[in-house]
Amino acid sequence: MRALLWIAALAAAGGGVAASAGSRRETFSEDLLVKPLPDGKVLLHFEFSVQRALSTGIEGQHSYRLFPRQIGEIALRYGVRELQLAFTQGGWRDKWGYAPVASQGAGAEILARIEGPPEEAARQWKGLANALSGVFCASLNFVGQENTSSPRLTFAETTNADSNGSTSGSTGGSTGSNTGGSVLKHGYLPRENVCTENLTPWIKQLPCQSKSGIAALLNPHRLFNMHFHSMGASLAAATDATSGTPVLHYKQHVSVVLDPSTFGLGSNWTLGELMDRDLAAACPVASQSTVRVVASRPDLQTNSRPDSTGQVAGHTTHTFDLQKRRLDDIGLSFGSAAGPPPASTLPAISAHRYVTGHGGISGGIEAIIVNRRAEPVRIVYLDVLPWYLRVYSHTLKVESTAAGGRTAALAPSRLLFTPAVDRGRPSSLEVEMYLPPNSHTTLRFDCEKGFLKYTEHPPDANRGFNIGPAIVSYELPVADPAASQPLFCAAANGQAPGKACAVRIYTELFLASLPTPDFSMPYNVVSLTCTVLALFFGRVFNLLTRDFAILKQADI
Amino acid sequence: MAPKAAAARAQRGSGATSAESGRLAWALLAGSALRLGIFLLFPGLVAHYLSGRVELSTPVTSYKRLVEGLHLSAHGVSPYDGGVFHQSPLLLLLFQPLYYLPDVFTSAVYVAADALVALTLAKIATARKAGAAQQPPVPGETVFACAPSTVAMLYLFNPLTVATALAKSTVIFSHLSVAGALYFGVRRRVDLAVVCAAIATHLSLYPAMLIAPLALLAGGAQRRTGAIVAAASKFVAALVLLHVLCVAAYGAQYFAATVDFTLRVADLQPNVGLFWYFFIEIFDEFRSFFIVVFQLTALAFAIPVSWRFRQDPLFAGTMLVGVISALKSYPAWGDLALFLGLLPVFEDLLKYLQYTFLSANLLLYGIGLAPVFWHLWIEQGSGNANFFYAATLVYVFGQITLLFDLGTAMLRRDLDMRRPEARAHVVVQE
Repeated sequence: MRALLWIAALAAAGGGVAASAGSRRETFSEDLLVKPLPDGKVLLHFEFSVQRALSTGIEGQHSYRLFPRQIGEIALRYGVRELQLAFTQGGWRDKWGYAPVASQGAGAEILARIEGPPEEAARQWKGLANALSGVFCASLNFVGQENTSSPRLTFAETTNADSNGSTSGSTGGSTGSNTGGSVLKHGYLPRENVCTENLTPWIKQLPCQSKSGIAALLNPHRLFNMHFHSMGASLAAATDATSGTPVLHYKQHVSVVLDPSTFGLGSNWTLGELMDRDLAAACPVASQSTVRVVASRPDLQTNSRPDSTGQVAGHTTHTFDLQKRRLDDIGLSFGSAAGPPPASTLPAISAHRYVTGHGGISGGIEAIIVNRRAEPVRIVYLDVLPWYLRVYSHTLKVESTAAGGRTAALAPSRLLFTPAVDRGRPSSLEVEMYLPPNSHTTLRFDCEKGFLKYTEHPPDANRGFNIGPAIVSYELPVADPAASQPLFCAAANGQAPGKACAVRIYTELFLASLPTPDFSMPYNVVSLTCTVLALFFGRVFNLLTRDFAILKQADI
Repeated sequence: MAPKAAAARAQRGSGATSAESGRLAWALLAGSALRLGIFLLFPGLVAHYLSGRVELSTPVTSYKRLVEGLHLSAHGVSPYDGGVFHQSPLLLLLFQPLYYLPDVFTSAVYVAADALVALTLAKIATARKAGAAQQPPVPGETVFACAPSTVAMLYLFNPLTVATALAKSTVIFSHLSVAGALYFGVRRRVDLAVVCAAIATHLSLYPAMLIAPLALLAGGAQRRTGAIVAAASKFVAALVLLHVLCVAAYGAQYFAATVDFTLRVADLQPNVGLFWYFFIEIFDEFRSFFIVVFQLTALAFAIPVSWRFRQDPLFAGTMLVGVISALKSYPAWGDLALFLGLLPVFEDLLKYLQYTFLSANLLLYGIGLAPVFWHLWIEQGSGNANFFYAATLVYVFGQITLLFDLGTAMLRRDLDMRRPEARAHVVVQE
């Protein structure tokens, strides 16, 4: 009780008390990365992270200062060890290089590692999705058994990578990855639209909301007038870099690709002009508040002198520290017109997926995976398809065309397939293979469209069903910090140099148009079919009960 | 000298029979050659066009789904833990070795199974002919002009049968056991008949109805209760044994994926029956009620129909084959092919049929228009589901018309047999 009072008093004292006990347990940092893209667009990557020391005591568990209480309590309530949530709109283009975030598939994606035995975890997962649905004003409550999968190879790189390992050798199975008493669950809602209503609760979780710091730049009118938008949050247990104690790490990010020319800006603009908001002073409770500008184009000039200059992901980066000085704005100016992108900025692997076949029910899926590296790369292809696309796993074929133009069959080194159950679970196909150097690899299999009850079709039935992306994951060795690599790899590399960095690529979504019944027919069908059935009944009854007799002459 | 003369006499006596068996052998060979030829010469037609036709293969008989089941079980995944495979474990056992062999062996198995069905039908005709020869002839009736080889030929060269075999629909194996059960029933080999019926039931559920006429056949002309009950209990024992073996091999999951699946009509893929569109369109609250109604309509008449035609249980069995073909939850053209294949056995009923023109037209219309309407709905998108539904409705209506025309013909002929004077008088149903 006394502890609670004390924390209440501290909270009443307001922000800016950097030395208080509460903020020692929790630290907050914010960062904005600005990266001009080769085609004149610009990538803004906002990242807000808050760390909280894990404690077992009751007062520790229930006192929140910077860390969003709703997230902390949800994690505690549903036994969440790890959580990744992403709302994405638009597609990330290969020509922009590596994506700034791990998850780039359009729609809503939720990934969680939940403690407990599988049945218990399934219940907790449903509860978690419903709770997050409320927190983020999203349709996450539609994540159920029928669109949840438990991939075993694809997300192996997440925190439990060491214990999870890719060692289990059996094919298929239904329990999914289940190691150390925790279950990995992955849900995908391809039809989810991301909008301001999701951003508002997201901003509310920030300690300074959008009042100060770089969060002041988050202007929904600009954020959603974009080419690519990814907003998300991730929660993971980690080890504090300085003290070595276990901490809970909650990271929120927004990545947008904006085209300055949309807003009437030429080759000379400031961040304030781009976002139509003013850059405020650093958030008072932040331990770090920086704006980094990546000099991805040689003709880039900043209007004020950066506080420091370093190398991030193969580019010179100018860092502006908002805590050291009050910056009103940061201006960027570019020289001549943008040239074509140098080949080295293209990601090492890219993947696309198409629907093949024609007609209403039979068809296939074809994925093309390009390896641009000069060495073999181990990848894992994950395709989770809803039950109404019946996958025929025996038709799976993998072919690879090497640089010389020679095409040969490629044998997957591992294949995990979980067949779908009608109205139960999706089918999940995981293929582990080693892509030959500089090659195009094609993976194709047949699938057949199922027939749904008329109530299972969406209101606009002829539009079809959105089908979530396939995910290709691979590990990128990041020995050289100057090499081109994803931003999050560069960040991870700072902590544990020399470690391989896991990268995921999301393919495009596709629309599956299922054969539709005539929605106006129920009464007609009931009456016509029952007529035929009644006819059968009548005839059989007639046959069983009536006999032939000779008509007497007198009766005529 | 004497033995030689006796041998010559015997040869002359069996001359007609040996010529008949020669024709039968030729019919079987020609039918097999036709199928094998198409398999070998037009593999593309078979693989791309026929095997995917919903009129020929259903979720419970599709060869592609069987291969998927074999693939899954070869890789250690239970084929029944999924929404694709719904066929009996017996088929898995049969096809497991073929899975590792070239395709031609699988084709050969289908060809052999179809030829065996034709042979069994011919034998049924022979047995019935022998049985009818003992009865007093009906004046003015030419008995059995239709030779057993013709029965085999009519089955083998029926386009529906050929298409079913080419589509590699596994319903053929169910047909083989049904034909086998009827044949052994007619020959009074009760144990074999019961085993065949149990296998047929395990493969496609509905042939369970056949136990009623088979038990009557076992009971003989006196309809001994003991024999009837014994046959029925043997059937139940065989089913239980099969079930226990399958549970031991594939776990209890197989039951939900096969028998339960067929009863619940869980996959609503269109076929030529009544169930699919009805259960796509029915309101959710009434779904289970109508499933019970539909399945009961199909299954409930086994005993009444068998009892009505107890004078000729083989005919009752044929009627039930027709009922199965019209009202099972996943019918295909192949089911009608078996019913039509059994009809020539009762060629004496032909002249009593009153609606042959109507039922033939209805069936031809239903069969001819189904692929066209399917193309319009699924491939071109210029038609909708109602088109195909209309074709299936007419097809089922045609079957029902034919079925009961046949039943009425049997009753009418029965009267003529019992009271030959009926021919000269007006006969009415009362």
